[in-house]
Amino acid sequence: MIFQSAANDLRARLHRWADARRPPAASQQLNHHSLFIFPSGAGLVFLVLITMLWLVGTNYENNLVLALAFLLIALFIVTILHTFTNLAGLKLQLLGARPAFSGESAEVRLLVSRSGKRGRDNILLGWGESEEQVLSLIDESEKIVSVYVPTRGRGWFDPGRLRIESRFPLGILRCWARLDMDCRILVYPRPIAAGPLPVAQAIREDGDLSTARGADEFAGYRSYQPGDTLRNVAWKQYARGMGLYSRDYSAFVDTRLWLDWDYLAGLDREARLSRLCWWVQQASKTEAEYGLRLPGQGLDPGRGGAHQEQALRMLALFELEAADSSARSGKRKSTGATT
Amino acid sequence: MIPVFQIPRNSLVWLLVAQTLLILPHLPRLPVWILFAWFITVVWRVQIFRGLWPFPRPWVKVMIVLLCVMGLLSEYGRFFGIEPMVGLLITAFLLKLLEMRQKRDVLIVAFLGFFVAATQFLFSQTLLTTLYILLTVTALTTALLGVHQSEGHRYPWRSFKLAGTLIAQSLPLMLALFIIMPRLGSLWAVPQPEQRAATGVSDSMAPGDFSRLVQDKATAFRVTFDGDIPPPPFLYWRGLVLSDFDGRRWQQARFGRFRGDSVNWNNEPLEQWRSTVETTGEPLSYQVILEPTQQHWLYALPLASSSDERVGFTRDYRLVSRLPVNSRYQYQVDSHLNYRLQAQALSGSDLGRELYLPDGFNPRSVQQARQWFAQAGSPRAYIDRVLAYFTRDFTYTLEPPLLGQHSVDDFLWQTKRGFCEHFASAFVVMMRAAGIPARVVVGYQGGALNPLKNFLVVRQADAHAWSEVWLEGEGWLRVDPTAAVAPGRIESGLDSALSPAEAELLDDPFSLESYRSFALLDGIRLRLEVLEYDWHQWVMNYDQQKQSGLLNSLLGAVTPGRVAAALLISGFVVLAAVGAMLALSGRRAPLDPGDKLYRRFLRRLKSRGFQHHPGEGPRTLAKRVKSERPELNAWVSQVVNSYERYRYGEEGGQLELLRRLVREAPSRRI
Repeated sequence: MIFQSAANDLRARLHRWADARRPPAASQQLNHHSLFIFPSGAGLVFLVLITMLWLVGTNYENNLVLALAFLLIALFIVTILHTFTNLAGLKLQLLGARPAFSGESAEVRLLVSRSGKRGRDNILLGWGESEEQVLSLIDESEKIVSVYVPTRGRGWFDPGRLRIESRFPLGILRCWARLDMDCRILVYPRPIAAGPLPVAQAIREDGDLSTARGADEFAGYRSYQPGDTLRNVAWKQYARGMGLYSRDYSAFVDTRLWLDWDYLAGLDREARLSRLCWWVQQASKTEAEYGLRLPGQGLDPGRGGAHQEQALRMLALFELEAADSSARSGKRKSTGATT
Repeated sequence: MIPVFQIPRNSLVWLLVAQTLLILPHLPRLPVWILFAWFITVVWRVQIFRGLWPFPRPWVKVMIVLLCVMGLLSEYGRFFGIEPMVGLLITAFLLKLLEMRQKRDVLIVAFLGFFVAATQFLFSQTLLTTLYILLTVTALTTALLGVHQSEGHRYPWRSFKLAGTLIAQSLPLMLALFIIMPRLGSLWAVPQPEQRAATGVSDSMAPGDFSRLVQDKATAFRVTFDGDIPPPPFLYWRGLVLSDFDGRRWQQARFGRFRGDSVNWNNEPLEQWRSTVETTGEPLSYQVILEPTQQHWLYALPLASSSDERVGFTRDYRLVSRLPVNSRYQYQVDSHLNYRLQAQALSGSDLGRELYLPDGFNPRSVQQARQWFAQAGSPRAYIDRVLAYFTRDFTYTLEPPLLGQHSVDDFLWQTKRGFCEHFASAFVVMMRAAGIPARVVVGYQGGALNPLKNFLVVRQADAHAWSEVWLEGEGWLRVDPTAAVAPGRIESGLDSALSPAEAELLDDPFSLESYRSFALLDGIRLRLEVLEYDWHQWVMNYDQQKQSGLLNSLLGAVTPGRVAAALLISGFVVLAAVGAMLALSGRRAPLDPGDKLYRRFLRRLKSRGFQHHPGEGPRTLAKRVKSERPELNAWVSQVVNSYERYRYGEEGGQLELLRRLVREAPSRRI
């Protein structure tokens, strides 16, 4: 236990020291500055095995047992080279990160390419301590690989350092690098179900508007369609025998949906954002146009993927942007607010 | 939760191959039920791999382990000792197969395998064994490699080749370590391998023993002389002196409860023993490399002495080793070929022993001996008389007829056909019957010279028995009655002394020895002998002394600094070479002609001011061109279209079309 915590402490220190050596960059090439190599757990057992063989060979004065021990030492040393060159010279390039909802895993796309003729085998890529992606570049010289990272909070999320690691060929050595790929992931609030879309409220809102603003909004008559509300039927004209017409109010024709911060009164900020986020998702599934109203900002109604992204982005960065940009100008830290 | 780990196929295959290779040579030392356990574990493991059987439950595992431990205990009766430990190791190696659930377990099995491989060297250290173990180590490395390769790139042969490359790259460094790393010598006492069936000349002699032994083509020992090799009549390698005769079988004399002579373990013979010896001339100095015999006695030309501290002397000037010779054993000998041993007088007890004949055996021979001795007048004349009788009508044969109770009588007066032990035995009986002290000596006679390296190879086929007689004032003299019957045996070996039909009996179609008449095969045989000899001299027997000699000649002087520097430099050179190989090796997959054209297209696009993004597919690229550079759109969409059609396997001139389209780029804007 004590040994383990000491090892962890040592590892943390090593990481801090290593991190200080590498500035963040979206494209990086692995070389002896960024790569570290050390015997793996199995490698340490292998060294114990060699020691035991050496003892047997020495005690029996058996040159061939000694030779086997020396062969394994040589194998260990040669493997250092093989493990190192399996990673050295690899180029990693950040292609982009797909935004994710808080709590989900975000997909970060990287282009890994090799130069030279030698193939690279069994490379593990992962963010921080999260699960790794296995990659090999044997018959191909470059590959796009998606590495997933679990997100927390909303806003700009820093996935930390990209861990690239290999134990190829024998598993007795571990070669790794921890790279700051200068990657920011936009994390949307975690969607929380908020009941049906606030359509009815929008209509009532419009009704209020029409009475308040009077005839300004009156656009004209159109023939009655089944389903038109009876309040708007032009009864006067009907009485004159001109047929059934509806009064057409421009504001009322506006069937667009407003997702409004104010509908969710009584909840705190993050809870409201989560529910708005859910509404945005739901609304995007319909053909309806929708807009977003937040204190101090808003998004005009629209539809389509780009519109949804804009809305979600607004939700993600709500009341964070200013704080975030100031943080980014200094040393970037994780900026997500916790839900 | 630990993710389910399926051991890769190529790893499992090589692990099982390595296991087979490792267990096979150990089988004679292992209990028979190991085969059964081996079969079960392999079948079970394969069934686990195929997903048909589950892993054994914990209680089943406990049962299996208990059964195996009990089995080992009942076989060996103890756990201290090499054989039981090897048994235990191999059992663990087998049972761990059933427990491989994670990558880590595969590593443990492979590591156990490396250890089992090392134990093989405790029993055999020949060149062949070494090559065999190198093969198994490569197989184990392949198993290790297999679990660390990416899926889709695990092919048993490709993995084996890569592992072979790793091992081959390690060999030079191993060699450097082998030469340079200091040898500390044994740190504490360790159990030695058990005695196995003795080979070679045994400690007793009865009719028929030797004719069996000489059919063995194996090497008994090799000798390197510091100077010239003496001629064949001097090459009598004394092993044992047999003085006790029970009418049929000759054995070593009995001293108290023990057979065999008392031994002096000092490097110099006792003063009392020394006084019985007179030598003239310079001693002949040579090294003997004895193959394992499981016996204590050593072979040397008379009159031998050794400065080796592991070698002792007996009173009759034979050499013995402190421990039974259970692995190749090298010792140094000085021999005075001109000597007189116990020339002055024999003590009463010696005289009694060397004249003893059991009562009631071979009456006719005893009677004839007394008669001839009386006729001859002197011991010398009598010896000549007996040898002359042998020369007259005796046959030297590998297949003598069976002899009755009076074996010497039957041989001398009836069958007259015999092998060396018959002649030696009959001669000594005739001497003793006439009152001349005599004894049988067993060992080897002769040896074949390997002209490539100037050493002598003595084979089991050279096993021989002769006699020594004691004459007043002259001491013990060697008399070989076989030489009287078949002089060719002494001059040029067994084959030439036998009839052609019998010589053929000795031929073993699987031994290169049988093909001496073919120059090419004989050349190969001689070369292999040299290889094995050098292997012993420079690998098995590379000790502190040889090391400091070699390092002295390589480095000028052996100081820790120089040794460390040599180690570092050789390590650096090897690593630089391997690194260079790694940098230059590998094969670039030949680029598909379509891909090549697409790359050219991207370059042309770039020269027109449009940079493609890394990792951008053709379609996204086309989309971007459409919005950013509409004037290029027509060309780009055509190329992309054609490229995609080519990629997705549309036949018929697609490549030609693509080439033409790429070439027809719109001219650059000014």
